[in-house]
Amino acid sequence: MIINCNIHNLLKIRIKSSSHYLIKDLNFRYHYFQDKNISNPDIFIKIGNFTPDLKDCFCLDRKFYIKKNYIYLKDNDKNLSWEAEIFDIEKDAIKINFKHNLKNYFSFPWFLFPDLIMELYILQPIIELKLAQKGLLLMHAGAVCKNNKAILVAGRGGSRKTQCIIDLLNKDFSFISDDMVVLDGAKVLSLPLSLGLFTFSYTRIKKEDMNFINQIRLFHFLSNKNNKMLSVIDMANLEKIFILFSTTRTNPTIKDINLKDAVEHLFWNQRMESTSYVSYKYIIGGFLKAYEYIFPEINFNEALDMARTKFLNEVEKNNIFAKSIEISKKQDIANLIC
Amino acid sequence: MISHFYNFHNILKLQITRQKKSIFDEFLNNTFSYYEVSDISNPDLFVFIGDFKPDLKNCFIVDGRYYIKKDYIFYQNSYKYAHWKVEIKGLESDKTNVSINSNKVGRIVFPGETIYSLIRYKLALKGYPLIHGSGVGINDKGYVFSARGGTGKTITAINLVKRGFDYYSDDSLILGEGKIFSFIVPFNLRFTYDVEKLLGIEFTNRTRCELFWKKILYYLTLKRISLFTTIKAKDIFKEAIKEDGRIDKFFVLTQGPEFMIKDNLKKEEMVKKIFLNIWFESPELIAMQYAYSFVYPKSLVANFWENMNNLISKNIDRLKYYEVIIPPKYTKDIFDRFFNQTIAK
Repeated sequence: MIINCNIHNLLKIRIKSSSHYLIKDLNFRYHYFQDKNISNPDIFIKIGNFTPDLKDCFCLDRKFYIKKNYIYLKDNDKNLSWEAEIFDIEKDAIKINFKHNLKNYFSFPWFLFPDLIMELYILQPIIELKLAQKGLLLMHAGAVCKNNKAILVAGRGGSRKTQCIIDLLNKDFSFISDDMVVLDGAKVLSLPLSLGLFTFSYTRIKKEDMNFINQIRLFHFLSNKNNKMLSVIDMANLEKIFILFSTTRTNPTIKDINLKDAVEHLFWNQRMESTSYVSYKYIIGGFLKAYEYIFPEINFNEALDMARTKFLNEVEKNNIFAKSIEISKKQDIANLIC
Repeated sequence: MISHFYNFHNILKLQITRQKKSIFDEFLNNTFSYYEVSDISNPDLFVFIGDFKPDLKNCFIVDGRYYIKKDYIFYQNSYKYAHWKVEIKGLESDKTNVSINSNKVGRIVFPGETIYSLIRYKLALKGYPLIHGSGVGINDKGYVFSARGGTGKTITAINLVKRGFDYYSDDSLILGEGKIFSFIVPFNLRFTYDVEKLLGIEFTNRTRCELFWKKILYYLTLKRISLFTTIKAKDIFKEAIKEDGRIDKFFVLTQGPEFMIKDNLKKEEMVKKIFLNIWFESPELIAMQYAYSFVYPKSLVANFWENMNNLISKNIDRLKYYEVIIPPKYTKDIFDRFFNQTIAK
């Protein structure tokens, strides 16, 4: 099966997979951007068996095998293990080979979405890098808009970001994204990576509550191909930034914060998101760092730093204000914001 | 209450106090035993191991795991069968109090993870980066070999000690004041290596026995439990151990296809390699530091890695740098070529 994606004409991705799975929505999270035909993809991914070419490679930790424009890695996290080959990381068009070896075929829940492993551990850091080289930022945040003015909602896991987005949608805002966005200066571009999941939460259960029964309903929902998905606004101008903090404090606080501080919170949020995922021991962008270790003249972070500086300059020019919202688990977030 | 005191070159003072005895404590006691002293006042780092009640009032919760407020962090961690909880008070102060509570298996794991992370963190705040590398010296000239695990930094150091060099460390070193300071921890051997032959060291019968039953345990548990055997550096190197010395040459060893020596490395490239080597060694520290920085982006903690980079840069100024590519099979012949072309010159 081949999937072609075109992300806002910024990045073109082609994914060719030979896995068998039940839930498309969670295996190819970029399928919102699905396109019939694309030419010259920036990233071409083949999921399936391959034989690595380890000749003349430098080796790091018996995990990464590296030579110029070639990275082979084998890695594991919890009960997952996988291997990948990345070609031409320094060039414009990147090719990736990926295979996952789920030790136990029934290692729940990963056998339902085996290709997601590739996306989380390999593709995401590369997309972040590619976007940064074009001066854009991948950002872990949700966004909604009204009259082309967007509110960016950022927070770590457990800060009820999704609940906040749902509440805002109920107050006549339109949906941009619930988890990831791309920031082009002071413009917010949508990147709805789990549209099915969010549509289910929003239309069926109307809140963020994934108990066991809802998980079964979600499974049923996602495997039905004729569902009507939430409509997505592709782009809007940034107007407000909300940073959500989960606290153990009893009374909620909402206060204006300095724009520079808010941007720092955003950056650290993204750093955390792109560093560790399932377990603390695993460093996601590790293969890029390993490449830099072998070829220290390469600096992947340079592009990212430049994109960050550009973003900060742009938002300071526009009249954008920021709020920090500190709230505990039991409190109602909707009344606080509106 | 059982207390142990450690003094690392008068740079860092550590006190570890345990609430009660456990058979797994031997591992923790051995780890820093080279630096054990009978008593210290005002430890920089005070570690309490036992039951404690975290102070979670008015905390920010990050990722549902980290509880953070100014100067304070509490988190839980686990690795395979080990679970442990850590509370750090005075994260940005001179005096840091740490409480750790764990299950029994956790006591084997956390010294390597948590206490190492904390020592690295505290040393960096004092301006002394703890780098990942081995070190030897002769006539007050020190040689540092920074490398990722499995490249050959230990073998290089041991081979040089056999040729009459002084021994500083085989795994980690403290940099500062233009010098290297030893950071001696025991060897952790897994039975899978044939270390005795490889290093040319004679083990005692007791050690051989220990390695043997751990090997049996490994196969009986279907390769699930593999235990380390610790051997004190003092027993191997004896009089060769030295506390500190001036650095003369700085080497980075990388595992690659063919033996090669590069001596045209730029300083920034060298700093980057040393920095990334430490970075790869510290996943727990990274996770904790990122969580704290998300809440307090202007704090001392948020600048930690930038500081680390500057410290390394400051401490390796005006040295001779080499990058040595070591093939996967690090033979005696390759070591000889390495020695003759660089150190013996």
